Amino acid sequence: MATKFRGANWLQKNDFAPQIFLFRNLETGQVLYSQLPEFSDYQIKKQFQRPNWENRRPKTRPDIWRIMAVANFPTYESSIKAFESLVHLRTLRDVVTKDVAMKYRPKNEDNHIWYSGQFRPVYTQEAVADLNNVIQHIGSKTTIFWEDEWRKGDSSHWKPELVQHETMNRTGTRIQSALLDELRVKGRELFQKASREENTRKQKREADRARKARRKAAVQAEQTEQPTV
Amino acid sequence: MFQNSKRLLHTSRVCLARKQAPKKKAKFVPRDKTSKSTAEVPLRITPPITPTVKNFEVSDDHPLWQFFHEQSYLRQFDELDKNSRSWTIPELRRKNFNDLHSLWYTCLKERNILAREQHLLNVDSERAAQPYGDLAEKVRETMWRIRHVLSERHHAHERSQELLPEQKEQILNEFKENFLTATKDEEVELQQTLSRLQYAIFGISEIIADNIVDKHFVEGLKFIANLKLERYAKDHPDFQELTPITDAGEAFVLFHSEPTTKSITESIESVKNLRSNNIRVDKLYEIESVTEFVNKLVDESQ
Repeated sequence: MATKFRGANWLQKNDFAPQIFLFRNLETGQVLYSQLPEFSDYQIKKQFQRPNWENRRPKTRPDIWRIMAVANFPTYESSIKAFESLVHLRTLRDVVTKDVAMKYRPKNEDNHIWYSGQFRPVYTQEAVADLNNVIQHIGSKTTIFWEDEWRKGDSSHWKPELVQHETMNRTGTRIQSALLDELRVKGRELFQKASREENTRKQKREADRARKARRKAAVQAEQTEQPTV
Repeated sequence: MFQNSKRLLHTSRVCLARKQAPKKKAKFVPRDKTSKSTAEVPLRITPPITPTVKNFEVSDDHPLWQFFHEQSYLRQFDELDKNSRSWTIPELRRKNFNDLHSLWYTCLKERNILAREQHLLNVDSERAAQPYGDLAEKVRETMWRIRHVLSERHHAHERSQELLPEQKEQILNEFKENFLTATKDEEVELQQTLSRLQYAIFGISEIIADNIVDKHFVEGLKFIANLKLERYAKDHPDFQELTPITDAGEAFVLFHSEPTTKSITESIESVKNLRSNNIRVDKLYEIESVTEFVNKLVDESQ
């Protein structure tokens, strides 16, 4: 399913919610963005374009990828825009403006990105910053379900009018796929509810407009029918 | 376009042409930067957001705090107790089981804290972690010594159990002699010795709920009842008539009474009442009856 880029219509038809899934690599700390609650080699190839010894292209091993956050967007269009922006930011960090990204990365005494074993914590922190950046860029209200509230950082970074933070309910769902599917269903229901409300509002607006137009026409007709003295 | 339209003279065509002049285009005024919508701003890299512990609260009684010394991440080298030493075996021999038990767990927790700190420092250099390791070694030494002392006691207990059937009579006689000849000043010490003896030989614990009633327990009851009667009520007029106590019910009444002359005198009255009403415990059902008495006592205390 997650083997290529998916458009808004496809996502809607196939019962997916307007969500973005952020997976975290336990070994390296790298983060993978996905439109679906799963990922494949496609995402890895797209999001790790310049692998080197410090930023290796990760494997698809499901046991070392854990969900870090799930961002719920109000519309499919905004979710797609957010996904594309996240991938674009990754390209900026790894390819286009790598020098800027390197300025922010903490270094060890050899002037390499700080690491312990294969783990570089800065990659996860960059992904959180990018998610925040993208939400502010799009300007749409978002709900983020965090695996661990610790990771979202200081609340001063986030705009409270745009972002609502929540924690995943992990009790009783030990299997990650079950947890993600639960979140997908929940996101889908929220979207359907919001779109239903939006539709009724729209219908109401149209009905009001039609009523006003009818009244205006009636008044005009009355004025034209008045006998001239 | 001209083919489909109405054919007219160039003069009359002008009459049909639009009369209103086209609107002038508004002059381009560059907008103020602050009024720009966010969508027009190109995406730029921002500094990473570091995680923070401010996002959640940890209660002071969280179990994992047991791995931290006074909730601090890492003790400084100066904060370590470098002049301390391990407990010696003679020191530990003087401690009872409960003290050793609590000391063992104190040591265990300290070793956990030290191991965590040592692990943190090992990443940088093994040399920095050395003092923590040395301290942990001292704690470990205390721990094996605790085990050593406990094993000594275990072996001593096993040996005493082997010798007990042969020497039981002699020990009890010696104790009886001491018990009856002791002065009033030695009363407190005497009661402590009695409680140790009843636990060692008959398995009767001071805490009633911990006891398991068996033939040794009943035997102990009778022995202690007679002992108390002889010490605290030797001058009682009915002493000769009452001794020796052989009934388990009577023995229980005396065993349960306080070690004072007044309390024992009251118990004697109860025993006399039992005898006058001919209430006796059948020898065959002694254990069951005493179990009932003990359970009643436990229920009352609860």
